[in-house]
Amino acid sequence: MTQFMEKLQNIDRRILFVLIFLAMAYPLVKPFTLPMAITQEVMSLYDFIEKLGPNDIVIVAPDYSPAYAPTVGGACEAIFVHLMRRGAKVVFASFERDGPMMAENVIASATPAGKKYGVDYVNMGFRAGGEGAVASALQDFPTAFPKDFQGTPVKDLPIVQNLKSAKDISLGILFSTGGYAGGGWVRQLVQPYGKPFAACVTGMMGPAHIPYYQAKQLIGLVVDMKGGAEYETLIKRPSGSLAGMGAQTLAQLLIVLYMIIANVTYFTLKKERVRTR
Amino acid sequence: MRREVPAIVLAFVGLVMIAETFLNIPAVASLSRDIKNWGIIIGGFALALGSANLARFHAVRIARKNKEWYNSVALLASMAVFALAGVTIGPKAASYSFYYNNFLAPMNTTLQGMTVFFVGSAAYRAFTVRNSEAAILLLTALIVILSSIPLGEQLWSQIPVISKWIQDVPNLSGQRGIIITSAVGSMAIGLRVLLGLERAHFGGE
Repeated sequence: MTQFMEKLQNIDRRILFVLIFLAMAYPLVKPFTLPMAITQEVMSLYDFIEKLGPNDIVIVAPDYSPAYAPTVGGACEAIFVHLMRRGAKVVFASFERDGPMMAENVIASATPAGKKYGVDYVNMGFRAGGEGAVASALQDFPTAFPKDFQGTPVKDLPIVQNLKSAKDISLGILFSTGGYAGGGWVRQLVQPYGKPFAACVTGMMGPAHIPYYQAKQLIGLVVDMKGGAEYETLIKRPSGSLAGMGAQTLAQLLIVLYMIIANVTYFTLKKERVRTR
Repeated sequence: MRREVPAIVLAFVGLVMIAETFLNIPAVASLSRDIKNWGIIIGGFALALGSANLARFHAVRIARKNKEWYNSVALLASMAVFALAGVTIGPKAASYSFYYNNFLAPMNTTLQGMTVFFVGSAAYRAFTVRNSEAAILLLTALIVILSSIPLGEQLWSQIPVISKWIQDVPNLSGQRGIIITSAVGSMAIGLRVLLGLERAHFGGE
């Protein structure tokens, strides 16, 4: 028994890697979904967007890189589709360098039929400067973004004709994986202009945004792939996030199993060492 | 003068920003708006400066034939190709999108995806309960991990409830403390910078 436990404790980590790989690869071969409850944070964002209409302009900031596209990209697509269904005008404005390409990917894969670029949605590109650029854009949008990602001047884009500052928007949504994140937008959008704001962040950042949600400075909070999967469930459009939940479920279960095995072997061997002393 | 001029500029810009927040003076608001717009231009220059520094660093590595210098060649070549493509054909061109979506994005995603293997290995090797604090941490981690997957609520219906309590009570208290403390610290640092007492970024002590 002791020998077995020692072997188990010192197991070659390549075996651990292979098991993780198999756990994540299995759902690709045999996809499965599990029912999930919708959290209050996601539901409140859904309910808010349900009240929006054709007169509402929403600024969406896809501030994530391709590395995090599986994590928050699914939520970005789902929320974009929901906004399009409500008839709201979506203005993609990025403050991270990969944002415009992420916006292009969302537009390419999720734009519903009948929606027109420059009228119903637009990709304004990227502005450097972090929170300072956010502050500038929200104060004077046409000066911060004089052209869109394709180089079209704002005067030729009907969707942004009435967008001069944050006072003209109905909602701001940030998709972020780090940096100033939700706190920065609370400082630059919620506090000065009193406009509603929602954030979609990674699992690591979720707990740090709970205080803003509890203080009602965030009207919604979508965390990680599970939050995206909840949103896809709400809008009845299964896509990347729901598909990824199978792999995430098995991988997380395996990590929980690893922690349990590690502690069982640790305590068994510790007890054995005390006994043989 | 090397330190005094930047300190005066910093103090002036800071005072304009503070005045714009608390006072309703159109001239101050207009000046503040201009300064924020200049910030975007400076941000762009910072990106260029960062790229130039990166190029210089790796060029030196190549010139000195440091260890694995060929990786620096690959980095500089990729940087040049993407920069030229972005400037000449533009990021909307099909070829640029092809390179971005079929080279950069998968490599980016792969690097990020590799972390799960190391997290799993670390969970196996390092996450043992050696004291009571570690036990609390482990139990909390197990509950939060299980609540992040749909199977958690299938295993035990109370897992999401306990996880929500962890997020809304102990986590909320700790995070609020961190937010308030960092805000007070930021104010102190800001005041020191505005008064010219903080000289590290001027190259001083």
